[in-house]
Amino acid sequence: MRATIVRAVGVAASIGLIAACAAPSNNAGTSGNTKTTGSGGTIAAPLDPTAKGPAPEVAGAKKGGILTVSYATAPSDMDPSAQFYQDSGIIMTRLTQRSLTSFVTRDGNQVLVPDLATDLGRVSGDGLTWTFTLKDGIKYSDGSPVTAGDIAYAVKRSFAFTDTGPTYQVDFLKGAKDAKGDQVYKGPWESGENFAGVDAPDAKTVVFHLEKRWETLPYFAAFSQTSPIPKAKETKNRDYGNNAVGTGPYKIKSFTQGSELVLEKNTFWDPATDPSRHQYLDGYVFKFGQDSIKVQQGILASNGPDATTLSWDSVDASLIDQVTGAKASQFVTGPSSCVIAVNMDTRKIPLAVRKAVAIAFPFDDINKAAGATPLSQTPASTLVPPQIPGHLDFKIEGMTGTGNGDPVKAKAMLAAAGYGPGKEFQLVWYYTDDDPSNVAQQVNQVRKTKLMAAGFKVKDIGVAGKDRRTLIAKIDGPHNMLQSPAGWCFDWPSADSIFPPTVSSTQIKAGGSNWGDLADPKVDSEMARIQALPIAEQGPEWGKFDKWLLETYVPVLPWYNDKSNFLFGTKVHNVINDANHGMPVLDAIWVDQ
Amino acid sequence: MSLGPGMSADLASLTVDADPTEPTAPAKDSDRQHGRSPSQIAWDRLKGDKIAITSLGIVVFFVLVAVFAPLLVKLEGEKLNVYHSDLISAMDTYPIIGANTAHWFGVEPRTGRDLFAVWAYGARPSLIIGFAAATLSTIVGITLGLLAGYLGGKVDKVIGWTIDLLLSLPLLVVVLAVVPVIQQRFTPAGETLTAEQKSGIRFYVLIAILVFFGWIGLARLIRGEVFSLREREFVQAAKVIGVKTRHILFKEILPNLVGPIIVSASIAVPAYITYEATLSYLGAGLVEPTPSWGRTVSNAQNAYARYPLFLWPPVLSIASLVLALTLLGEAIRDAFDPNTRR
Repeated sequence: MRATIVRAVGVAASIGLIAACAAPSNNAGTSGNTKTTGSGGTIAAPLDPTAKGPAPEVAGAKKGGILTVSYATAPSDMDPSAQFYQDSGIIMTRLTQRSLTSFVTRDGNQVLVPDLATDLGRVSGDGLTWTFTLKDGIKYSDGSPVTAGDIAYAVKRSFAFTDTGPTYQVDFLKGAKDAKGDQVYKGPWESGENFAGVDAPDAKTVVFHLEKRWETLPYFAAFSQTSPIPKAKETKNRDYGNNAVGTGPYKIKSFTQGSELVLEKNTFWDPATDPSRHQYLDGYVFKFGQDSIKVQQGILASNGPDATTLSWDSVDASLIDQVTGAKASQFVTGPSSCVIAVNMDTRKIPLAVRKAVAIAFPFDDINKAAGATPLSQTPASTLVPPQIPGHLDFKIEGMTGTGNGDPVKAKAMLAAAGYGPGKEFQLVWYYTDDDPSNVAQQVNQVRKTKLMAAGFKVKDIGVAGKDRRTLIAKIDGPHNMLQSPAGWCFDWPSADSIFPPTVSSTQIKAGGSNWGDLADPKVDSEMARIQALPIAEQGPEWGKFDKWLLETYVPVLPWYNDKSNFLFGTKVHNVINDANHGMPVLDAIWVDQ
Repeated sequence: MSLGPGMSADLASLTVDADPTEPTAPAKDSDRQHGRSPSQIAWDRLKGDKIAITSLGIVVFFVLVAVFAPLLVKLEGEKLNVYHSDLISAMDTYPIIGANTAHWFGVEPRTGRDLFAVWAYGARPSLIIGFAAATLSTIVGITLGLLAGYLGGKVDKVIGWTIDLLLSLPLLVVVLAVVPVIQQRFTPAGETLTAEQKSGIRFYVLIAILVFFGWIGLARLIRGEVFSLREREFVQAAKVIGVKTRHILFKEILPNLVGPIIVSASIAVPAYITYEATLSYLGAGLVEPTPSWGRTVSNAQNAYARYPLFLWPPVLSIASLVLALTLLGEAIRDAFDPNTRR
């Protein structure tokens, strides 16, 4: 999911996806008496093509009431074709929009089930055609019927938003790219509705035509990009999201950008057709741009409306005593979908120096300076997070996300590589220098001081946070490390949503940076080989690829796996972490009145 | 005499009627005022003012802290900007120690920097910016005020317009917008600045901006005073006997304005110290790793519930320094004001 942790706030967001932790790597061990859901072990999302609605009732759940979700950032729009962020994504996929497939939570694990479709898609013998059949009786929130053509139209419409939205469909669907690999189909407004990649032969059937095999297409079909959009009602821009007609259990009552989103019940939603969602609450209120510390203090006190409020921002360090002690029942944590890493430019930093950076890197000190705690993250030593099938648990020296670096050894390594006093190797990076909390600036100072102690010369370039995202993505900038992406959140529980988007040469060709700024044919061909395997066989191969990549190239230092933090008032119940998205299963929550 | 644009009546209360050639206040021998300059009289009065002397003591204390910051920190056995991450708990990133003999004010949460060092060095930018900006803005204000008031005509109009223009700009908003722009100006093309260079530039930009906006009040005050003084007999007499304009301005008129000038400067210093702290708090002032009380306050506010020791030293220091300087300014004003003569 690009490096788009819009949800992560407080410390993590303000320093642009850097932070980490100096704690034992075991989730259960560090969270003390706090509930950990979503499990720390591998949570493959198994497939259940036969699941039928309605979704099983949550034991003890009561109906009625309103849940308020207050958090620090804000979604820029609510357009189902454009969304690629954790916050708007979870709001749409759980509450306002249904898509061809969806996830259900069973015993803390995520299972992929049919949603608008009757099954998880039928693939042709050559693997290049996927067919989905729609269920009967699906209606929009205004009562009009949903047709297969609306889904085909929505998929085409998503091509107009590839600047901020996902780009898997461009990569795999037929006719989306020309021979050079450039996107030629740019959505129905610019390129017309004649598109070979998707069509609807009748009102109940959607067919995807692929350029190459796409074993994980049913996972992509859970994105809101496959949620139906009636052509007659859309506005040809993102404003459609403000009043989008949906198919989920809730519909948008009002959306004020940057401020508030209010949802109310959708009376045309039929639970008998939906194996995934519930409709316990009367509505939801999402409040954006909130001061998370104040919100969290209010939630812990749980007076008045704060008792039915939920915060998904990282818990502030000053509240940790409470959420791990007396107020543990108001807190849920679990793995999130993101791995954060220290990126280096393999074209500008020689391999021997990259290894010295790894040995010198002061993970623990930086974690502390960033205010990172065992509640907000666990150290990472791999690029594939533990909950992904095929995760290989290995530890390479200096790449474990823990420890304080060994400046003496790093100096010796630099000397062996021909660098020393008077001829230091210079590391250049951008950092945010307008963080109002000063965390980013202090993290930078700690990192700089410790790396200089290991014999590096450091040039730190301070820029405004809003400019930094653009600057670090440039491949020809003056910097040679900490380029984007600073982290990666997988889109579905398979490593084919991690590696091809982060290390293939296509990003470099397009002028963007990737992990290590790699453009290596060996890496590309190895990934192509694994992607052609059946989905069940891919997992272990990606695990081996992970180790091979890190050992051979040292393109990036794995740092930490992000953790989700949910803090909620005393009247909020059944808050479950969805480890595939790092967000709560919103529709499963019920409240006391 | 005409009142200049914006000249208000309350400024007249600062007028010093006394001049060396023409004692106007009822002279009493017991007051030992006869034949003495306004400054001497004021100093005598200040010496007897307990509040003024206490305030002066506090100001001197902070000046000493700032001047001897390296020595004090060495005495503590510490250095500035050394990151004692080993004193920080990995569980919640708060210090595992409180104030002790090794760290007199404890260490900073998250980074583990010695807070006494941060505090002692933090006194420097406050005081340097406060006093430097006050001195410079006073010099500019006096010069422009004298010129406008004495020369009148076009010079007065241009200076008057400039003053009105600057008065119409909201200072804080302009500063927030202008600081990054000026900083960009000082960055060589194609080059980038490190944190230390940036903080250095910010330091001078802050002084420049405070001076740029700070001279207005004093210039208007002086201008009004000069308007009345230039019609007085001793000035007219000097003119008639052919004394040079420069001599008249600086030898005849200026000595009569010492009172309002000192008052204005002594009120400007605490105002500028507050400004530096405010701007650093808002992120437009000095940047890491240069210590500043304003930024420490900003860093400490969210940690207050857990670690109040972080917030108190800079807050108390700013509060007491500004209060002392303000009271001292008040006392000086009273001492110079003929209307309050006891």
